[in-house]
Amino acid sequence: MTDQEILDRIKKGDESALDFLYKKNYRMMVNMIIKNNGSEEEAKDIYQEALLAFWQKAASGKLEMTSKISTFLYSICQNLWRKELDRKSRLSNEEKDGIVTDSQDLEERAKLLNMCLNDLGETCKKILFYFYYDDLSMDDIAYKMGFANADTAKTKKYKCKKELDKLIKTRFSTQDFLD
Amino acid sequence: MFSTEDYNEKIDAYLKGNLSPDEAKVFESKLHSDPALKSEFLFQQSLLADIQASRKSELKARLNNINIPAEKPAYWKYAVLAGIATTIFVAINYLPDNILKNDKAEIKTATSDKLENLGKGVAFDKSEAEEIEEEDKADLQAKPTEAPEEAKSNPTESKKVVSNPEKDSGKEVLPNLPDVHTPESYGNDHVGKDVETPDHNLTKTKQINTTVAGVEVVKSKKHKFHYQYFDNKLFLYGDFDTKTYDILELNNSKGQKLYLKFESNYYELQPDRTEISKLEIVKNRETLKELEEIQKK
Repeated sequence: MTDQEILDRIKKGDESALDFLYKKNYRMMVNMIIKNNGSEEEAKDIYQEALLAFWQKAASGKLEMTSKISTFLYSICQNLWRKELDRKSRLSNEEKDGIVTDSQDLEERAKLLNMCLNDLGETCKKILFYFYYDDLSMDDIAYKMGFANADTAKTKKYKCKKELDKLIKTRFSTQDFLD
Repeated sequence: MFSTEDYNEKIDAYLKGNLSPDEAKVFESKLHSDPALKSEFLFQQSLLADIQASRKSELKARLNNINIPAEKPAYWKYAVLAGIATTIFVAINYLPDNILKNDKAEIKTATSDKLENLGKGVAFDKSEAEEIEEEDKADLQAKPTEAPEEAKSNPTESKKVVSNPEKDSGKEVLPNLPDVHTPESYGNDHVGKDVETPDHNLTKTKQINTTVAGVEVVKSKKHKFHYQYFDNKLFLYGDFDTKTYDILELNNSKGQKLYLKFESNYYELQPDRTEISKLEIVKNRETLKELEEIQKK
């Protein structure tokens, strides 16, 4: 697959292109981080972050590539890893208390959301993911979901979102959710 | 004054970064003067962040399920990586720290400017570059193995690789670097998911490894004899529900490719067809012979 073909696929939200890229560039990116004092686990995590950041940009159609995808990914990895190293060195000098409570709170919220999403059903979950994370166009969402057209996708998304808001608001007080 | 529906549309657009700077300003000032809007906004902001986090962990789980083959040595590839490494090394110095928030413009300058310079120092030798690409194609099993740093010990070769067989100018060196092909990049685009047993319709199917996660038959008025790949699946458009068909996989020097056998004819399934395409009959005699061979086995 050429870079252009990969990009075209990603723009349509074809996740097999993501798999392909992941596999193709894995060694190069992960080895770069390992060579720079990272563990395999850390390297994998950074690489996934980088790849998903790329996926989001590319799927939304907001990215115009002027270099090879691998070059681009490589530089994202380097930057993310540099930041991570910074963060680690700062952390070792500071107290870590604040961060722990933070992630607990996040976990709670994630659980809550996943419960609601599961209640809404697979279709709604996918639409909301594609719209809010992958940032696909309504046309692409319709295509991927097998809807008649973008209008159908838009209506469905609207209904799903409304239902989700309602579920979350009624089950849990807004205040809980906010902080 | 907004209605609730308008609120939500605006909030979505704002949070997704789809408002123009002017619209965003108007929205922000409304936010300050309208407490109801503000509280809804804060609710939506954290909800969207949670939705995104949830999707992200879903995708990460997907990636974690992908099996990465073990490393294999492939020395000549160091050269390729050295080329990339050097270029990136130069380019990186020009990228501001927070690349993710940067717009394409900055990346463009960083890469193309520096690449241009780099290109100037590169020796061009068409035949050699092509040769290496050929070698690349032949070595389907090879993976990028080592971090680029190691490769610096081999500077001569790296120059050959970075040369550009198609254009005369030294610009855009990187886009023409030979791809380091994984087996999947040949013959099929799909990362090797384990085979789900294809449809019950596939009668005499030979092993379909690493190719498609499934076959789906679609009835369509417009497309009567077509196919396409999407999301790891092969979609066949037409009357395939009532008649039998076979999907055959052929591995030869050109790579791995799928063929459809239908009513004693063979049709090509080009792996890069992500648009709905007409099924085209195989005419190449050698291919036909090979396909007959597999059937006999």
